[in-house]
Amino acid sequence: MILFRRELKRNVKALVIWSAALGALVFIMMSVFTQMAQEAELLEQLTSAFPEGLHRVFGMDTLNMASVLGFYGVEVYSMTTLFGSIYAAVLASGILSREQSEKTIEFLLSKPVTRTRILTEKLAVVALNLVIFNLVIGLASAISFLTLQSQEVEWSRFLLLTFAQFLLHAAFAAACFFLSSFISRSRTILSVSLGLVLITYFVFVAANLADTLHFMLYLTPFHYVDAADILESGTFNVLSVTVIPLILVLGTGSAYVIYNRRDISV
Amino acid sequence: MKAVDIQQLTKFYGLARGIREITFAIEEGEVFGFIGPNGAGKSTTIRILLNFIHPTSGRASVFGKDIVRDSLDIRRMVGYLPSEVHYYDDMKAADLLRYSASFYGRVDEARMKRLAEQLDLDLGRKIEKLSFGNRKKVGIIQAMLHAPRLLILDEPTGGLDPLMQHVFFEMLEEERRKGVTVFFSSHILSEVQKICDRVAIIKQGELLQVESISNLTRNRFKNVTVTLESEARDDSFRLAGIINQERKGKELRLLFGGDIRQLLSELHKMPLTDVRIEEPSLEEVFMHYYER
Repeated sequence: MILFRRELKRNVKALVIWSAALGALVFIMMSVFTQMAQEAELLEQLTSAFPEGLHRVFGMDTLNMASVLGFYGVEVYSMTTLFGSIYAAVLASGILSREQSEKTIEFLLSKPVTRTRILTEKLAVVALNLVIFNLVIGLASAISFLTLQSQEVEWSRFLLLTFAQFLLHAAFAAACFFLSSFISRSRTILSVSLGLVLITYFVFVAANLADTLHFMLYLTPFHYVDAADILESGTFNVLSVTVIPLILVLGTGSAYVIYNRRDISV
Repeated sequence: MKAVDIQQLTKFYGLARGIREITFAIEEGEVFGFIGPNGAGKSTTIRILLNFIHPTSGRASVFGKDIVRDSLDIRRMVGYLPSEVHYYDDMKAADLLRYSASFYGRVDEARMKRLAEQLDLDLGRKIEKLSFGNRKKVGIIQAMLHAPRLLILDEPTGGLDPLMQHVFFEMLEEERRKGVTVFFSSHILSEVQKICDRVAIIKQGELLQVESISNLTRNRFKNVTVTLESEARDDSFRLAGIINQERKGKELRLLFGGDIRQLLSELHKMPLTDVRIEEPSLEEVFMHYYER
C-alpha cells in the first residue's frame, strides 16, 4: 500500500485537471444541444456542415441528432473517448517508466518490495484514476441531461456507453503500461503511447470514410466501442466483449512477465 | 555464515563483457573494499547482488540466501547507497527518508534525526534544491536508517568534502562495532586503506586478487630506492618479485613483492651509495594490478 498511496498522491493533480476539463467540455457541448433543440434549423446546419463521409465516422448516419443520446453519441462521446484515451495513455505509460527515466528505480528496487508488487500497486492507481475520471464524465453528462434539456433519457443505454468508454480507456492504459515495461526513455514512451492513440483513432476515421479500408476497423479499439453500434443495439457485440478484455489481460499480463525478467539499471 | 558469498559470477550484456567468473566471500562483521577503475564491473556485481540485473551464470548468496530466489529477504537486511543518488524531486529530504523507511516497517524518527545531525543535513529542504554532496548525505542516511545487517555502498564518498568523509567513516566505524558488515566499492584507494579489513581488486570484469589490507601494504610490497655510484650503468636489476622498476639518473626505483633476504643479498653486490626501503602506498600497489 505504500507505493499505492505515493502514486495516488503523485497523480492526483493530473486527475483533477483532466476530469475538470472533460467535465466542463461535456457541459459546454450539451448546452450547444440545448440551443439546437430549440431551433431545428441550427441542427441541420450543424449536420450539413460535416462532409458526407464524416457522417459515418461520427455515427450521424445512424444516430438521430435531435435526440439527446444521439447528439451525445455523435458530439460528446467522440471527444471524451479520444481525449480520455490520451489521458489514459499518458497516465499508464508514465507511472512505471518515470521511475526509470528519473533514475529512482534503483532506490525503489533496493527496498524490500517485489517487482510484481510494484506493478500491481501502480496498476491499481491507474485503474482507480480511470474509474474516478469516468465517473466524473458520467456524472457531468447525467447532470447536464437533467438540467440542460427536457427530453427523456434512456439511462440503461447511457450507462452502457459510459461503461464502453471506460473499457476503451482501460484498454489503452493496458497497452501503454505494457509498452512502458520495456521502453523506459520518457520521451520515447510518451511519443509511442500518444502515437498509439492517435494512429488508431486515425485508422478508425479513415476506415469509416473509405469502403475499401473498411476491414481496418477491426484493428482499432475505437471501433469496438462505437456509439452508433451500442446505442442502436442497446448491447455490446460479441467481438467487443472479446477483444477489449483480451487487450486488458494480455497487456497487463505480459507487462508482469517482461518486467520481472528484465535487467534494470540506470 | 558468510555475509556475502559469490561463486563464479558472470554477466554478459549481450556480447559485451560485464563481469567474468568472479568468486569471493565476505565474512560477517567485516568491512570489505571493492576496488577497481571505473567500468571494471564493481557496480555490475553490486546490481546482481540486489537482483536489479540477472547473472548470466554462477551464483551468489547474502547471509545464506540466494540472490535471485530470496531477493526480497535479502533486501530486508541490506542498506544500499547507489553511486549516483537520484530521488523524487517533489519530496523533502525527510519525506524521502520516511518513504524509504516505511518499506521496512516503522520509521525510527530519532535515528533519522541523529544521522542527519551527524552529517549536518537539513531534513526540511526539498531534494530538488540540494547540492550533489547533500543528496549523497540523504542517500547515506537512507541506506543506514533501517539499521541493516549489510551495508552495500557504491562509491559512497564522491561529493563529500574531506570533513564529511571523516564523519562518514566514523559512522561506518560505529556500525562496524555493532556487527554490521560493510561492502564498499571505490576507486579511491587511500579511503579504502583507512577503513577496510580486506579488499577485492577487480579489473576489466575479472577479479585480480582478494587481499587483506595489512598483507597488501605491510608484508608483501616494498618501495625500494637505490642510489647508484654512476649514471652510466643501465643494466636492469633482475630478481624474482620485482613488480616494477624505473631508472632515473643515478636512482633506481623498485616496487618489490618477493623474498626480502634475496633482495638484500642482491643489493649487497651492487655498486650503490644509498638505499631506502619503504611501505608503498596502496595507490602504487594497485597501479600495478591495473597495469598488468
